[in-house]
Amino acid sequence: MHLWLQIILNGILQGGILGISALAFSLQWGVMNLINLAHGSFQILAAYVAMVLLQRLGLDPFLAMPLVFLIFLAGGYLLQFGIINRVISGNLFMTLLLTYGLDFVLANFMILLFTADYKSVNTPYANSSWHLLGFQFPIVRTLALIFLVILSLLLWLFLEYSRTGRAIRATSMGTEPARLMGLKIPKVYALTFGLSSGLAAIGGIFFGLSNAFSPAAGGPLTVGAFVVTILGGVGTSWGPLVGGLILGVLDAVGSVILGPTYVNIITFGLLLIILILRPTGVLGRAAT
Amino acid sequence: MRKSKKGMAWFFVLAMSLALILSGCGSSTTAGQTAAGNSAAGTIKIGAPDAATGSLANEGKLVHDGYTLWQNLVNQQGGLNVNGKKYKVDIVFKDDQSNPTNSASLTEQLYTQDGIRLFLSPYASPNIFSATTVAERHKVPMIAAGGGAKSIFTRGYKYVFSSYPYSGEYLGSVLDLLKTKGIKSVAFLHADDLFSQEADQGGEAYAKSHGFDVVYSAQYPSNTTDLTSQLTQIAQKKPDALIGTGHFQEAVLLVKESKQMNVNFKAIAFTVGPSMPSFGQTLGKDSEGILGASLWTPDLPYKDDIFGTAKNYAKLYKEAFGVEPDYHSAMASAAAEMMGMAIEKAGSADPQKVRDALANLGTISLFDGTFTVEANGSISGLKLPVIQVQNGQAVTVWPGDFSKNLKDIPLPPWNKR
Repeated sequence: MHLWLQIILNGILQGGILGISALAFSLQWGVMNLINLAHGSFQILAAYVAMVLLQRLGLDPFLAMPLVFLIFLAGGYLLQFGIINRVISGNLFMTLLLTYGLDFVLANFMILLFTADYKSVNTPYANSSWHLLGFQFPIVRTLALIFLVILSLLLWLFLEYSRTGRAIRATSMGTEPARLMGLKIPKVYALTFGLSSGLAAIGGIFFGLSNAFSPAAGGPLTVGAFVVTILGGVGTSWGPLVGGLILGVLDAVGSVILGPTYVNIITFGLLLIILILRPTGVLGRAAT
Repeated sequence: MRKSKKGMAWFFVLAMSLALILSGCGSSTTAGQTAAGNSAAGTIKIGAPDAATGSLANEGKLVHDGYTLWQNLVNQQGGLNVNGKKYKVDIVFKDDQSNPTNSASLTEQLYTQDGIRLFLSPYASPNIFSATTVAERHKVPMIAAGGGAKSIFTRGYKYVFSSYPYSGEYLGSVLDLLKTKGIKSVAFLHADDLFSQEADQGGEAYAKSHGFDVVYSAQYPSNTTDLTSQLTQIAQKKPDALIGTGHFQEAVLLVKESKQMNVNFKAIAFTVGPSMPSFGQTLGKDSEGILGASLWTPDLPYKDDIFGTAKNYAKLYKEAFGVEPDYHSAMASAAAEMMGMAIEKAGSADPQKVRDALANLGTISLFDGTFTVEANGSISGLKLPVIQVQNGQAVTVWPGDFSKNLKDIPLPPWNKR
């Protein structure tokens, strides 16, 4: 019994890592209809930035988080405003090509700066855990889940109640009416991409603390975020949390019952089932 | 709007699969010089379709440098002695972009366009597997340096040779070492690629036949980012040792998560990871005492005429390339050296004669050890070293007297480090 409770707990905590990585991806997809193939590389870049800040300035990754968030927010805003906005209203294929290219540029840029070697954000607590009631709570994973809940709540409040948030939601419902209401779509998009880049950076720092990474590690992160986003429901504030938890627990339990080889089959099997039965995701609203 | 998002999801799945399929194809169209011939103008040409780009670029470079070091030394020493006449060697490299399909088509190109009749292999078993089919078809010898998959040698081929032992033998020395330290029960975890599977199967069979109790064994998908639930299961079985066969990032993950889950072992060993400097840098003091299977270290007591001792090999390599050699480079140099020995023994660069000489090399001693070339082209008898991470560096702790360097087995529990 204790074994299974610990395994379910492992799954829940892995869900935090998966969910926090998907937060940005889901926002971009939901608001801008943009599937950002460079999402994983953004996160890896953030992990490198946190590593450099730690090694050069001795800045703890959690203290560096607001700074990294702001750097990525500004970078994302400029990127969207200067480049992605130029193609986003066109063919879907163009945005896929653009972000795919962006992924290449980022990955090779990171090889130039940091070499192809594996690195890690190595803090004394990165490999430690809390012991509570006979269970192991790895510190980084536990914090990832707590951060995910808080960020999801903040994101929900922001989108629901702030003026800017309402502008973002209005835009996601349709660009033409939003434009008629006087909204400047390119600015709303740039803000959304900036905000989500900042969120991606936070996810990246958590990944860097819990895994070793190299410039080529972005691809699997993008695919993971994609699956979690579909499971939870595209563009919902709580979707990444729900999707992450479902996937984390199912993978953990499945890997013990069937063996870890089957994790990918479980993950993508679940993705297919959801796409067939409930294409809007667990939390997604029905088609209008 | 919602409808189109569903469409996008399917499109994405389709696009990803297409990308995966396409990345497996593609070919290089590098133009080569035509028909230079082999022993023309006092030079013997050897072809090597080895990766310079792609996912194997790192190891491909190590193999490239291993071959190149041999070429430069032989040429400095005047060349190969073929029936009393000296011939320079010239290794012609072509980049297979880490792609096995290209390894085969470039071998074909080197044969037909460049007129090359002697070959050294690309890096990694799948690439060797595919390149050697072309060499065999044209009846030209290829020596493999960079993959020990048994399947390369079970096809009845006559023109394929190797400087690598079978992948299944990698863990033998590690288990011999563990035996002397009173380790009785072992848990195995391995990745799902060809090399890891063979190395793990060989290791588990060796463990069982040498009296170890294999209490857990599982395969995980390569690049996994979470193994906490497997470690939770393993903890219930309380094995003395954990043996992981996979890739660098998974070795790091297993150490990090063992500590997080407070799963303690008397010994931890990996096939890939501990011998690389970044292992100690990435894990800090948590990497101390961890064992690694290796094929070669500069400490080994072997020597030959071209490179001198293993230590001297390391010195020559560092002078040429600025970094310490690891076993990938050393094994590549050994493969090139085998080619040189066979050419001199055959007294000719004729592919059939060189092939026959390789098949009859028997037991030879090189700077990487003493081994026997078997009838199917593989090698046997190489005594594999084991390394241990001490103060962030890889220290040779096996075989023989090196065991006096061994420290901290049983490992202290994570909270006492």
